[in-house]
Amino acid sequence: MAVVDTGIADTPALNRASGRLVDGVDTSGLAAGGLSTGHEVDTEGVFSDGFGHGTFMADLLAGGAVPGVDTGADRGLGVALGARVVSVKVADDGGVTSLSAVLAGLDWVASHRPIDVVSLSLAADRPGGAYGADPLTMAVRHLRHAGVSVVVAAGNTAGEVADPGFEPQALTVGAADTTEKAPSVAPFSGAGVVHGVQKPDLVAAGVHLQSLLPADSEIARSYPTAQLPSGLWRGSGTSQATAVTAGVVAMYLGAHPGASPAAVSAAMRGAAAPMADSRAGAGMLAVPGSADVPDVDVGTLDRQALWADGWDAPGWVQALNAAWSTDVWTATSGSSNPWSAKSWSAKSWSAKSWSAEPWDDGVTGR
Amino acid sequence: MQVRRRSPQVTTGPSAVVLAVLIAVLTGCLAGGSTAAGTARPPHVPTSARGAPVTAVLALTGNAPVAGPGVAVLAHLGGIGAEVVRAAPATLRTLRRDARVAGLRTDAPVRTSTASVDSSGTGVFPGNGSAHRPGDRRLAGR
Repeated sequence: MAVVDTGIADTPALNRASGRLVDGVDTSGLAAGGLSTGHEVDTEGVFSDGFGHGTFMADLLAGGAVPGVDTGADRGLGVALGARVVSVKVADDGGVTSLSAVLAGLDWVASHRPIDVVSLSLAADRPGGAYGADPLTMAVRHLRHAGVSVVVAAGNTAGEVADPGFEPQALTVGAADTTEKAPSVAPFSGAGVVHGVQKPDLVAAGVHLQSLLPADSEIARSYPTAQLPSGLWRGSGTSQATAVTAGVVAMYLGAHPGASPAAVSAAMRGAAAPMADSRAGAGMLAVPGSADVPDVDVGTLDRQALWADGWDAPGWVQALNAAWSTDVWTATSGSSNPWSAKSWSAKSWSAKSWSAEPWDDGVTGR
Repeated sequence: MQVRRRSPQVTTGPSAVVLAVLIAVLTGCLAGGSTAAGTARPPHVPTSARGAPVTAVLALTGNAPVAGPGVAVLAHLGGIGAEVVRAAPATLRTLRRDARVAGLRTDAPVRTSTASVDSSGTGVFPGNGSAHRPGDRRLAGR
């Protein structure tokens, strides 16, 4: 499976020496205008992680035991202890990335099967004021059509769903707070009804999750107090919930090789424990058990997953086309350079996205 | 009539110049202005060359590269039906009406979806939080 993120550094729980972590591609140079300056997409080398985000997610997804840390009997740090993780590095060491860099990473995945799961803990702003198709959602559709399950974060803005999380064919994941006995939807977790489709599809643990960061990473340097005495770090967000879900999807595919993305989505939604909260979608993530799917053939599952086929209805397509042809151009025509990588520094998102403040000021009481 | 600020990668042939002239004339007429020499206005710039080039991503209806006058194809992403191009905004606006283009968007920032790195207290391991009890629920008929 592919973790499309800031790269992945070796950790005791998941590393290249074990053979469970391999390097795929590095498109991060594109985010800094590499395409315009002749940078090549890098397919050879170690695509490590100077920022830390991708490492945190990869270890949540597939991290094994950590020496000196008790993660519970017969458990590792992550979910899918047998999964092989491919690093698709789309952001540089400052955490900077762009639509084109992410798309180039996804394009690489599309041509490198047997990758069958993509974990995408990333979000772009919606293309305009309305939900609509864009190249990112189209990429999700292409991957899904090719047999790749794409697990996407719902985003961390309450009341809306990020791009491409609003894509009906993505398996979109919100965050749940599982630190209390009764899980609840995290207050920041994105949710909404997009052209009749409820998003996210489900929620997974995404508050105060423990994982690893490279010691010299940007996040570790910026937030040293986030490290626990055990050496692990805590993080919250739909990113984390996405990584956990991707791990469960990998486990499911291990037990059901060749299951289509539609079958996977249906199984995940079907196994989820319902919650009395529409922001949770089908509910709380659980590993589909033998009673969840075996008596239903894949064809039926595909039809059951046709909530996504609303996408193909003429009205839906019309709405999408309208949405992205108007608002986007308002922005484009008014500026010769609406965005450059320089304007999107790590600093600009550290304040909102990585600050500990939202969680330590009483939201969770911790 | 000149095509200005052309990227070295941009291809422009005689037909493109003719097209640019036609677009310029039509644009001028639609705007109610005049393109005739001798007015106080600056020389009319072909619409396809107006404005500094921007990087944009096209979603394609097929898999054929969308190349043309004023459009520099920076990357063809055939696996996901997309293309990264660089062109003037006016040229991109024209491309939007191209049958080969399902839609397009200027390049944009993408951020990770982590809400916070938490600074104190205990935490949970992901498996402990997923409340996994295999087989205790059946497919709910969706």
